Amino acid sequence: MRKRFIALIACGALAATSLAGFAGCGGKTDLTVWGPAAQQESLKEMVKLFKEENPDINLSIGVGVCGEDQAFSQMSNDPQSGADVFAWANDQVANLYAIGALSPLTSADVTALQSRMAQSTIDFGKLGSKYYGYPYSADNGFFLYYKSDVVSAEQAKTVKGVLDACKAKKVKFIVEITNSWYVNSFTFGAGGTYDLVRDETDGTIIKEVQVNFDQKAPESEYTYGQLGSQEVADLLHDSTVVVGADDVIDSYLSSEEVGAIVRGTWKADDIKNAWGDKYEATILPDWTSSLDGETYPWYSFAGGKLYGVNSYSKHVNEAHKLAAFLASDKMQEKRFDDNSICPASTAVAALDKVKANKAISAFMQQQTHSVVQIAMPDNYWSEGDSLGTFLKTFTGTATELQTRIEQYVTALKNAATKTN
Amino acid sequence: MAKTVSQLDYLGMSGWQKFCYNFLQFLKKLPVAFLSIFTVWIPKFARKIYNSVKRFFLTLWNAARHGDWKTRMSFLVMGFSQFSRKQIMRGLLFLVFEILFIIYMVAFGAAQLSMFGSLGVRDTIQGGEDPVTGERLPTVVGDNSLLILLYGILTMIFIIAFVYAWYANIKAAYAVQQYVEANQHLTTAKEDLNALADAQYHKTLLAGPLIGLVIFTIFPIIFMVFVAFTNYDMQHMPPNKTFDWVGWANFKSLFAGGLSGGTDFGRVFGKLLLWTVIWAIFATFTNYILGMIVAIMINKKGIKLKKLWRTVLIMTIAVPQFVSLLLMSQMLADEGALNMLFGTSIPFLTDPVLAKVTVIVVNIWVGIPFTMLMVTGILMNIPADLYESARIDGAGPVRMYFKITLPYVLHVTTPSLISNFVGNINNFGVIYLLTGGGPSMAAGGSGGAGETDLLITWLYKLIQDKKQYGIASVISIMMFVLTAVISLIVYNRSKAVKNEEDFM
Repeated sequence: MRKRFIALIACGALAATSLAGFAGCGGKTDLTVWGPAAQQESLKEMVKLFKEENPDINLSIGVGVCGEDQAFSQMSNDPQSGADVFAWANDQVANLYAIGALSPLTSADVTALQSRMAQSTIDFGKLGSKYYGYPYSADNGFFLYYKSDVVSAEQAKTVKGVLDACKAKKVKFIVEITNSWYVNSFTFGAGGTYDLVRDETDGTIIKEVQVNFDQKAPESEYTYGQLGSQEVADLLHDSTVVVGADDVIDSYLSSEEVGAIVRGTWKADDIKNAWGDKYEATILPDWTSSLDGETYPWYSFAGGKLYGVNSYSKHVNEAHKLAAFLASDKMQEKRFDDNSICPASTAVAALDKVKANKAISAFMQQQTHSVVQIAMPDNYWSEGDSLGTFLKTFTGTATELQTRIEQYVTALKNAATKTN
Repeated sequence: MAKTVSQLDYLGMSGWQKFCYNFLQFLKKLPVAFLSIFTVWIPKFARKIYNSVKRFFLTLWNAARHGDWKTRMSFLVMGFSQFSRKQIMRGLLFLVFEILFIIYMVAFGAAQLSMFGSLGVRDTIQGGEDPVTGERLPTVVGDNSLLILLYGILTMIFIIAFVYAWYANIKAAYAVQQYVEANQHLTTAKEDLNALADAQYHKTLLAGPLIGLVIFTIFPIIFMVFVAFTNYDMQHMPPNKTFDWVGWANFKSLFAGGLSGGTDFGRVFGKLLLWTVIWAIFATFTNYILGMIVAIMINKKGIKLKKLWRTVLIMTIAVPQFVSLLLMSQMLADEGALNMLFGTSIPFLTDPVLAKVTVIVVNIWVGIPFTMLMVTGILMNIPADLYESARIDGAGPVRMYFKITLPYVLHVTTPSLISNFVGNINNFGVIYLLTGGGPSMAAGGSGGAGETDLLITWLYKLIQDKKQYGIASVISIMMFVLTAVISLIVYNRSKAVKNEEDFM
């Protein structure tokens, strides 16, 4: 009898504590935020600052790792259990939208952004007629790094100058030109364009792919694609050029056999450390076509990174508040201080300390010679890689090249959604 | 063309002629073997189905006609016949199953099944903002086609199980009646339970594996077959957007050729299928032959330090395979260690042809030790007197190899050769870790497929990067058919199965 009584009391106590536990959960706002691995420390501090600024909300914020480029593959596993707030690169907007992982901004949010940054930057997060993210960085593009004792500032203005300078010192020029991110950069420079017409209400539907690579450039007997791709092929057949990604750059930097590199801001620190005071960065050089002898600029992509809110989040309002906070001017400045991340806000970009950063100022210069990297369909990348593979061994005539370009354009245009 | 030659002519042929003759005979038999699927297997199967359907209705008819009222009640209330004749536990099990089934169907299954035809109609409505107040609106989550499909299939399996249980119930009900009428003993619950540990022990033992097989193998395959008939892809990602049935559209885009969504699936599939088969043949037989040669060399009398050689080769097994492969991929890269060392720029992994060769060669390096181990064991088991008597009869080493060693080894290892071959068709690890499928195909419309991609790694790309679940399912069905047909034909024709008693 006594034993049973004790058991009863124990059960009662257990029930009471668990009930109390539930009651405690009632007013709490649980949020999860995903950011890139390199910015974890900084992100945790930002979350702390956010909590301090919002003492009226009972916040509990978890911080997880997910690179901006990994946002889609992470979220697509199960968007309903993904993070409430997460960082993503702007080329993933269509994919993230397709799985319903992005909560749109209200017009008030957009107006607030417009006072702080250029419209082209805000457009990173645009799909159809709506905006889906708070840009915090506009650093996705490539430009030229060069070593001042190999390449002079004058030589860095043309591709030929860079190549000659590198050849003279028997060092290499590294550019990952067969990669789909770079492979059309000359074609865009020659005047090629690529654009998508998306459905206004359903952003996943691509109504039309507008691409002119197979059309003749004005006052030229060659097409944009011929001009640009021939230049890629010429570079690939030049023994001074090395095609390689970050690991290749690292190994050449350590053996000091490289004089110029085309890469984005993420490689700035490594290159700076290797070259010391000989480290320079500038806009991409102009190039002269071997086909028509004309000189054209070399274009980069321009893209950025944003914080977005999961539309399945249980606390959408608080999540938007956090996302906006993480992309605020103050946090962009903090991110520049902590990780040298190129800011998206015009006010932060205008700060003297930001301007003093060579890589970021080269990137800013490059903006005039850039194509905004819209949310390309997946086949833009796979077709680009295929073209890169083709050009590696291509030694044929301009007519043969045009056949391949036409094939390329047909495949690109086929990404338009079929309407039955 | 080889004709069927007489025994005498055959014996008169040289070794090479015999080999060619046998090979041609094999090729000649191949179409017949394929045709036998239609002429023998399918009619056999149809007859079997017809018989079981006949039996099904006959049993029902007999029970309805000759059964008493208790047996007839069992048509409605499962287990009634057993129940009323004091076989409580059996009756109770049937009844509980019926009640569970009805509850499941009413509460859940019927609703899921009713949506199975459309796979859901409501898309998720994204929050957005209230046009008047500017406030954020909550997201309204729509139908999840994936779950509807999943639960629909589950419900169907449950219904089939129920029909079977119902049939078994009536059969048993009538049997129980007959037992009682003949004054035979009815088993009690205790006897039934005891039987499960004795006469029916095989059922107890096999229940676990069977359930596991159904849940983890058969159910996913059924699910995959259903997905092959839907447009589950990037444009239709549940719960954001529902996907629908599209009939044979995925099969058409795979076999009819032409671009669909920017990718020429037909061409890529053909190309990768060819390379997959070439790869599987090379990967299997190079390892097999070279491994055997190494084993024989080490096993030969007079070779010193046998243990050392074996240990050295087995070291490659001791290092996890993915580590060696990743290291290899680093070493062989365009600007990798090997090229740096020799100051060359050989595109080991980036030239379409060379990459294929590299992949096969690296696979040899990884795979030989396994074959060597296996063959060493077999070689040690071959009775020495066979060789002795052969030597006395004047046979040379080559003849002894082809007459004694090879048949012996082949006999034992054919099943493992088949599993190796099928395993190589699906050898994801080596390709993915070494080249990642690269280099990209140079032709347009390749949809991200690379030159060294096997069907399985392409499948991975289609699902992981492009979320093309529909067409990926079609490809996996094709791969399933391919591997199943190859395994069945070769396995059934192999000596290990035909002459199981030999060499024993």
